[in-house]
Amino acid sequence: MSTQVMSPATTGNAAPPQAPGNSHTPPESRGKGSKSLPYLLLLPTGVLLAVVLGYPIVRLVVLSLNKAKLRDLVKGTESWNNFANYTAILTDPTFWAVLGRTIIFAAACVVATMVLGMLLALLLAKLGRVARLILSISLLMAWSTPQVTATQVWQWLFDTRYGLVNWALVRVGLTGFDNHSWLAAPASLLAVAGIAVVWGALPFVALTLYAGRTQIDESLYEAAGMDGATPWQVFRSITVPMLAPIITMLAALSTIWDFRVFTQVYLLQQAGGVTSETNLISIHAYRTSFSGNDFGGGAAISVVMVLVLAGFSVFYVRRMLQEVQS
Amino acid sequence: MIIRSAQRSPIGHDNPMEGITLMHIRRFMIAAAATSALLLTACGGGAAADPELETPSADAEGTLTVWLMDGSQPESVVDAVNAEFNEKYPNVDVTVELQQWAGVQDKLTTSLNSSATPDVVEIGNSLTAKFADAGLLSDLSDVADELGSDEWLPGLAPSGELDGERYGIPYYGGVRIVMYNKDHFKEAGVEVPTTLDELEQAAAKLAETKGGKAEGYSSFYFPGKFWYGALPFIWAEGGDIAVKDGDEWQGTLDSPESRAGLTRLKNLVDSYSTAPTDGNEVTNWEVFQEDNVGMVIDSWWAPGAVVGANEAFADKVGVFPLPGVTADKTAPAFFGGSDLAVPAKSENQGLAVEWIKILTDAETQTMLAKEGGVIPNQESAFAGHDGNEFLMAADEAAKVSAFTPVSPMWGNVEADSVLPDMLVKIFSGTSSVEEATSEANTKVTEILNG
Repeated sequence: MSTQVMSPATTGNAAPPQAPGNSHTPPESRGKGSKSLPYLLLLPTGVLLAVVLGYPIVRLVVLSLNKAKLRDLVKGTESWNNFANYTAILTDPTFWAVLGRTIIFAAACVVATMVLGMLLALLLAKLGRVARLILSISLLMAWSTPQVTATQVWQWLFDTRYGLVNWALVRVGLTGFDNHSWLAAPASLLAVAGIAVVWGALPFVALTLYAGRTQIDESLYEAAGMDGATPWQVFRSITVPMLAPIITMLAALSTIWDFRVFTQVYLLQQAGGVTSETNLISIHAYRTSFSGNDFGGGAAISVVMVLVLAGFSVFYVRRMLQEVQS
Repeated sequence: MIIRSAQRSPIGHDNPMEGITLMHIRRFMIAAAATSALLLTACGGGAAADPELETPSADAEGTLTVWLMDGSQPESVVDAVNAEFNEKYPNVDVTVELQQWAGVQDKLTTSLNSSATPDVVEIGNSLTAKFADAGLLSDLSDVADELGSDEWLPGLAPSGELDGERYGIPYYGGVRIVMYNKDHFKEAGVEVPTTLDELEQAAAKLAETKGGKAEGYSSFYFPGKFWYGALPFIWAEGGDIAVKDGDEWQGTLDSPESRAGLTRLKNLVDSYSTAPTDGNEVTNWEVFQEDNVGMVIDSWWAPGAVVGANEAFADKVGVFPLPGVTADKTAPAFFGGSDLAVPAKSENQGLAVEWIKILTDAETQTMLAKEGGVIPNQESAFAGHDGNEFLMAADEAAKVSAFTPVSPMWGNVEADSVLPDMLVKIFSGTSSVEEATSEANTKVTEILNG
């Protein structure tokens, strides 16, 4: 509506006045007022975002284009070195190994989170009141557990000597697991880390999907039931399409979270395994910056990370918009 | 548990444990940007450090902020130092803030570079060179004499030095010792070994009497990541991590001596250790209490902690320094510890030096040795350990010690877990000693030369 009122003012005098009844107030002034008001209202948010999000990113990009060792930061001798940091990291085979490892790790975590989250959501929908309450509370408690604490607990469960997992496996007859080190093989360490990550992400995904599920009109399910649809058909033809925008949003968020996993893997590296073969990209960036004193290089890795994630985000957002429109 | 977490970290120099995310890195960058502006102005008035280090007059006023690490010293020591300091400088307010080891490296990086810097900081001594190299620490060469540099234990002194200048004042240290089960030794009829060969023979006899790995008994318990425990084997044979040749570092992990030390350790581990080959050493003192371990290398505080946690072990725990190749010299122990330093940006450097002087003098160090149970920075303070069998053995071990390469880049070797990764590969058998040392050696040389 408002754009129509504004159009004479914005397109100039050539257009015939469309609202002659308003001739008492000059169209220009009305147009101007309503045009700048939204921007004025957006201003505080815009400024806040620019300061809190924009500035650090700009600073990050600038830093990634500078030679910035710790000594340079202290002495103020940072110097522009074009794309030297990027060439250095992109020609480093370690970086590609880390990136590949991170993508596989994140993909596995996202798939596991989404599948298990959906199953839990469906379970929540089927449960009676008391059971649902118990499950919801359990989920919330898992959610509220700090990552460091949770990782320590998982690490102890998988501990070589004292771990519950080895104990249980030996008890059921799998004696090969006596003193088995779950962290020794890189894939195995990342799998334990993945379990901790998925465990921590599940509550949010499950509860959100469940919330979405409660919004689906039950008559759709009744109709499907009368038509003799199998549960799998019902799931595929009703639940998934209705929840599609939520699923896409959750997948997008999970991708972002799982791509930058740090704590779980970092802590497990202290407990066992071979560090150089289990680094993820966030840990690699951290070690480059803070342990390697090379803040320029660390920033370059972070920028690459941001770009990869931005790529994913664009893909997801476009999909979500399409789903909402259809 | 409390004893362990409080006392282990200062010597272990663990990597910061907290989850550091991009957010933290960004936050740091904002801080860095803000402070570099301040820095430029500060540099304008930057006079030579020497006048700032002059002893202030007794009527000096102001506030002195001191950062010590939590668990480094009992409160009584801090109180005593402050009381003595305030007798001399009644108008100076001293604020001592205890920092946590987890994440302290990042905290120091940011705060030493700001105008709100503390005036005295305690730094894990393998990191002093890094901060000194970055220009964050004041050069204390001119006052080192006054601070008693002649008395410092030779094993502790090198860590605070970079390119011939003195930045860190040795505060205290800690070493690894061998903890053994006296009952088991008696049963097997073995004496405390005085050479590494004897140690191997003792392990063999223990295994004969008490059972081998298959029976769950460990004559010599050694988790794979425990590089502080592995270094003495390298040093004992005459090997080292790296040596400086002119301006260049050259890794020496692949030398015949280093490999001989690691091969000896691998044989011990293969034959007698039930520890995870990729595990760390934090549970060593707890495993010892299961009563199926003959010998285990652990921190100097561990025997006391074992007895504290388990009365039954009071008569069972024995301690000896890791022996060397020959009986006349023990294996050089890794001598970790803490340094005290004055941030370059502190405006109270003279007062800071005066405060450090009191904390590091013989009297306070004796008190620290007695009440804190650490190894003091000078031999005259060993008296604080009189009557404590365990700590006296630790002092013995500390007399022959060695240290990691003093280079600003050393922190990167630690951060990249080069040594633990090497050891894990050797002990788990995924690489031979030759392959693993060659690989690690290339990395060490590359990192140290920046």
